[in-house]
Amino acid sequence: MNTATIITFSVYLIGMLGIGLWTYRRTNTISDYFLGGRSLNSWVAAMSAQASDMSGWLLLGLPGAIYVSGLNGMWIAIGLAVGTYLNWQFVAKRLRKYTEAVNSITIPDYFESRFKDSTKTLRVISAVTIIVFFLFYASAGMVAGAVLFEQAFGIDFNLALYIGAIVIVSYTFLGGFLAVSLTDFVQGILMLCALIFVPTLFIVSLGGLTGLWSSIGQVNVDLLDIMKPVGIEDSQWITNVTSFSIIGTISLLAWGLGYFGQPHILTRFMSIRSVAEIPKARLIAVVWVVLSLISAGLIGLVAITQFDVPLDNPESVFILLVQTLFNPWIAGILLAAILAAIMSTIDSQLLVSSSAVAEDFYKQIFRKNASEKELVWVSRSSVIFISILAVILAKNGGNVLELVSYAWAGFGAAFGPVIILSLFWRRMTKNGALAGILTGALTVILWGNIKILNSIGLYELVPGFILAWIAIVIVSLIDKDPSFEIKEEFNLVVNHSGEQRHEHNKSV
Amino acid sequence: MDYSLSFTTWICIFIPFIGIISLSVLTLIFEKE
Repeated sequence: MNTATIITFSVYLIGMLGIGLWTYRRTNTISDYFLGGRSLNSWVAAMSAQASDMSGWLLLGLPGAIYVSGLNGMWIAIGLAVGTYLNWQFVAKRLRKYTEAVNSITIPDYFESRFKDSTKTLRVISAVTIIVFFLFYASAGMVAGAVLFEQAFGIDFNLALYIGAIVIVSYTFLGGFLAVSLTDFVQGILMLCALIFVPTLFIVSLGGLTGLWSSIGQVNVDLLDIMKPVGIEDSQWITNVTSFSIIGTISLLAWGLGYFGQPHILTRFMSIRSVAEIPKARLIAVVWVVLSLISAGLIGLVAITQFDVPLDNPESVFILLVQTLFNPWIAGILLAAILAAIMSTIDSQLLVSSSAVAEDFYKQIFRKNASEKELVWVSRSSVIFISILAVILAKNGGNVLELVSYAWAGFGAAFGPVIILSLFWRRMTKNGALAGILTGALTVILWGNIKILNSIGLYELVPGFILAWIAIVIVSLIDKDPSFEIKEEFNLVVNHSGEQRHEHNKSV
Repeated sequence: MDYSLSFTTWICIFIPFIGIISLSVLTLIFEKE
């Protein structure tokens, strides 16, 4: 265990906790806790949306995939970049307007208000979906954090898991959304710096990009071809003879579809100060995502040239590159960036899950007249409760990437089509929305368990998304027309000028 | 021996990336609401 690395790591963690404490004093209402009182400027909204989106996957998973398969792995990066853009372009503004118009602060809240559902069915079904999928997502993040602590400091896995969990819970518990958004902002910058810094240094030492391509070409020239899938077999990079796979490529690109349904990212759109800030936030987010995905890809490529024999765990390439090249002080900062990536995703997910418990169960079913303060405390308690469950799940082990991919598909299919159609299709009905959520979630859950379907090798998000979309359209058309009130509200939001700025009530 | 990226690889990677950045810049300039 290196003292310099521990000191850098600790300073970073204390800084994050400090932000949590500072914002604790500024969190008075439930809207403050979950949306920061809709007060985020374009920079903070954009960076926190991106940092919440990109988990440890960006620094561990993607470089690992590129290290194994070469440039063919970049299809997933292309899918994600395009998905990020489309989400900001088509969903952000309308969702921000609609959720303010109907005064919603969570996704289930929005569904209920959008379709004027007095039965609470839509709210409860979507809240259950959120809690279930995020539990696995958060658990995967806790495992990733523990693996990082374990590898970086050589400490026991369980101890690493507890330390990480305590830090994450502490500041999500204290500050809520504002803390999470501010720390996400800091973490987003730290992640990007690490992502650009590490491969650049290696590429310069290899003699620029020409040198990089030549070094990789000597290992296997097909690693440089996006159309040729390469894999590691018997400690060698071997080109897959079946060559270009349509289903494989569609599955990788389809990750981008998942964006439209991720509650932890969508809430960032709802929290932006004004719709006028969205075009600027969109550009910031898109530039961030393009730079970070290209850099993560370059880390994987550089690693091919650095490690002669394929590594046992390809996902550790970033950690190994950092540990071998940099002095312990800088290594500490760069490794903290991995923790930043993991934490900035888990904290947002915990917050959304706790909002589902407080707003969608506690307030709706148990205590209709609960005060704002009471709801903030219920949310804080549920952050702890959900974290404990996530840690228990994490202790049971499991493959991190499979869990993340599963949760991503679950949200993308269950909520993606519902979000898009609810914002753009006036004729959509409550039953249509219900059918969409259930069809999307069930398709994802069942697809992997049905052998014939699973053997196709298609990412379950694709059929889930398509079937949910079809279910919404068919059920809505069979259903009777939405009420006049719903249609009028839709027209008002769609035609709203959007120039009206939200005035955050500081006196609350 | 020198190696480089094929034309298809460059196009597949850079068109989507440059495309979305360009569209974001254009909408930032021209999107009026």
